Amino acid sequence: MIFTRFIVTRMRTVRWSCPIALVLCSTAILALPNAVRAQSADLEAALRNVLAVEIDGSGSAKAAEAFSILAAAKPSEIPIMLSALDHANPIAANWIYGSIDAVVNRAQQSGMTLPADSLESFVLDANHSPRARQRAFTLLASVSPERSEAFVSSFLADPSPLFRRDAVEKLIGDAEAKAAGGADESQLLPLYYQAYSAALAEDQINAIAKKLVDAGESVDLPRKFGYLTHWRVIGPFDNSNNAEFDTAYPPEKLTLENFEGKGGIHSDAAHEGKLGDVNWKNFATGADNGEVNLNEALADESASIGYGAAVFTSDKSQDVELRLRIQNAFKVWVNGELVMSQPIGHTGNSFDQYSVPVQFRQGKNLILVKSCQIERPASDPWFSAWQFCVRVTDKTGAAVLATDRKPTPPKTEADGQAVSNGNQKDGNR
Amino acid sequence: MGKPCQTATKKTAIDNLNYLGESAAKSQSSLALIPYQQPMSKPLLKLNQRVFVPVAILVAIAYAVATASASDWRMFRGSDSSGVAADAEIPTSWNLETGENIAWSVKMPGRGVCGPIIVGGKVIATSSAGNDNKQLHIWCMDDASGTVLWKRNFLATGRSQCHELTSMAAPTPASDGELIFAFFSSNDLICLDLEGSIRWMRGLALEHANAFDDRGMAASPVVTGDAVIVQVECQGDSFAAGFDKHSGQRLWQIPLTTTTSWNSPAVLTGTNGKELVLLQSTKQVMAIDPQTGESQWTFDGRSSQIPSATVSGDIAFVPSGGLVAMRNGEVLWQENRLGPQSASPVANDGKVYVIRRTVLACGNAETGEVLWQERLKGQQFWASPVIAGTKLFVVDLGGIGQVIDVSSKKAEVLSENEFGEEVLGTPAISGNALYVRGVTHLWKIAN
Repeated sequence: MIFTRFIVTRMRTVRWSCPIALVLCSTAILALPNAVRAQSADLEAALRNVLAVEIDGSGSAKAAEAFSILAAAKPSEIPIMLSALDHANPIAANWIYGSIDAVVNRAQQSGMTLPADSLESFVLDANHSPRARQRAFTLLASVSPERSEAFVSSFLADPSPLFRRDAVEKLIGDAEAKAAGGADESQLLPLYYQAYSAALAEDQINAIAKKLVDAGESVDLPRKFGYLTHWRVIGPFDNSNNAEFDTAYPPEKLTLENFEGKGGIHSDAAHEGKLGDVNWKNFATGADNGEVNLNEALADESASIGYGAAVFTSDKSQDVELRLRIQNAFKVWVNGELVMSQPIGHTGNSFDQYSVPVQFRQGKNLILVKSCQIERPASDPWFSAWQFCVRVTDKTGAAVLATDRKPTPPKTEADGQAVSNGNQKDGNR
Repeated sequence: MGKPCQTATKKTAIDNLNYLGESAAKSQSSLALIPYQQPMSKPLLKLNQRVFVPVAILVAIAYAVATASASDWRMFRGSDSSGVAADAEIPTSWNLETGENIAWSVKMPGRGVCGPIIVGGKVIATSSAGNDNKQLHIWCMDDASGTVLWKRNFLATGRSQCHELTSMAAPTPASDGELIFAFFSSNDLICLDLEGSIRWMRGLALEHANAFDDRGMAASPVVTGDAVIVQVECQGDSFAAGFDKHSGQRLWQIPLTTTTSWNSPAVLTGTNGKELVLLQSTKQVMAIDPQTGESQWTFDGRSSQIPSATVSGDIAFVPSGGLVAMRNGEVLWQENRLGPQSASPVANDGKVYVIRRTVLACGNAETGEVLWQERLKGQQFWASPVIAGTKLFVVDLGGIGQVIDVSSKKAEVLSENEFGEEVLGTPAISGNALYVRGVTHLWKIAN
């Protein structure tokens, strides 16, 4: 017990890394009675073996031996195992998840209780990795739902999107309960706006936006999500036989340095396209999902390649994520550097389907997207899609906005039913 | 979606059971507790115990293996990829509301569209959950009681996007009788023993970043000899690979065509009695040596992307230009009118059965002659039909289970039974029981 408290205390202040953790473990073990010392040393060695598993699965044999030791751990030792998740690779993490499950299985079958206090402390310590805290929260909820429920509201600004989701869900539930109890809009709207501000998940944002719009409020979903709405586009270029994915058409020479100069994005220079000469032209989207529909912007043309370029002005040098929903094979460049290349198209069309971390420089940053339409079967809506959606976020998925972001354009008929109308009223919420 | 499921009332219903709930705890078999018992130290054993205990254990193990292997259903469409349990006698009707012939049911987290497997008196099923589908669940139930013996919850290491109809838990697990190989759409391959101890795991997406389809992957693994084989066929990095079932080490890997398919490998016995694995792609069917990946024979022809080849004896029925029957790669016949849509064919007693949209068609297995057709109730069939004795069992997407007597010259629908939720997973058969996986529930149907 002393050992456990010692380790857990250290884990709260010192993030897990193997060397540090092992020194702590070893120091603590020396102060323990022999039997307990041996048991704890076994646990330490077992965790070390599991953490040594490589992502190609090598090290599994030792990890399998370690599993039996970890599975026999006391429930009070679960926080130690959770701490090991902080720096485990995805495969090692799954070994640890499975080990914890085995401990929980045994505890519940034999009537032992899980260490609610330690689990709660673990959850509330944002220094731990989101996945470790989330697993601790799940365990805590299983042993004490009311206890976990009690502090879920505090997660509205949590760095973990998973916790944020729970907090937003609770806020929406609170609002709906008040509505059912007869509360008027003046009481409900603050709750919905608070939830809207905190929400990161697409389904929650859309659901709250609908509540606000139904109440006569205006929301700007592209801004909330951080979609890039103002583009210059060019195409179609030839993609016969789906063979031109790696063909560097002239737009790929575009860089931040030349995009406004001669032959650049704002010039009148024409390039040879599939259907004749093509020029860069403006395209702005008011769609809630920020979609740039190239069938509309360029041409409804099978076996084609199109490009979109946007400039994002950043107030500082910063790490951001580009998150894309794109149904076609694509490439993305930032400031002339290829940051993502995906030769597979028409496999899905979901929110944040792809994401890539990039570093923005202070000032202007050029984002260039190449979208490749296949030789599509005639009149097939799934394969007809030729589009892309790009948003800029921080690592939690919250929008990062350009300092000179233009107002969201009004929605066109092609953008679908209005949920937002481009009103900037809620822009800073 | 159908109406909410009603659980059994007459027998043990264990929906939402959290490990050992009150009712389940009473029927918990001691077998489940074996891995958690403290080992007894030798000095405490008396002489007779020293002799008796090991002998008793050996006898028990021998008995368990003998009985388990006879009734196991170890892979997608059974241990032999046939979908047939010739001697099984399964109730021809059931009722979830009254509990008639419902032995037990279990509600699992999230969604699962694969079938369960039954190994050594244990039922294994998988599901995926969470807003991002990343929570991968493997549950083990006691076959007799439905008691949840253990649960394991992993995190997907690969992409977890999929069409709303499917799930990360689309591939049916496989087992060799001692080990379980759970495969997921995220390309996570996890090996556990029957007590839930992890033996090895591979995150194939970490090694093959472009091996995915954001509509979801679905090919179930097979295990034969010392190899567990997965087929990952998509527009990107397509491959089939064999892994040593004991260590997880890759034995071989071969590239596949870069066209998405959702069909599964099947185990086939070759002319020399050696087991082969059929890999069905959009360009060809290939029989490979499961230990080396070396091709033994190929059949060039555009095959279906969804329904899988079925094996009956030494004949493989491959959905390709309708349906092709072949023996050792030699085509016996091809019949356009027997082309299945989504569900895989099943063959037994000289007949082959396919579902085309909502029509069940029966053909002569030796000649391909279409013998009869019967329109089924339902709109879409994803779950493949299975056969117990002379009864064919089908479940449509909406959860209508139909029992059809196929013993005579015409189909006779014996009953229609509502599950009340979507069903996409192929049912399993063990002993005289049918196991049906709805997207959230697993039911055991038995007298």
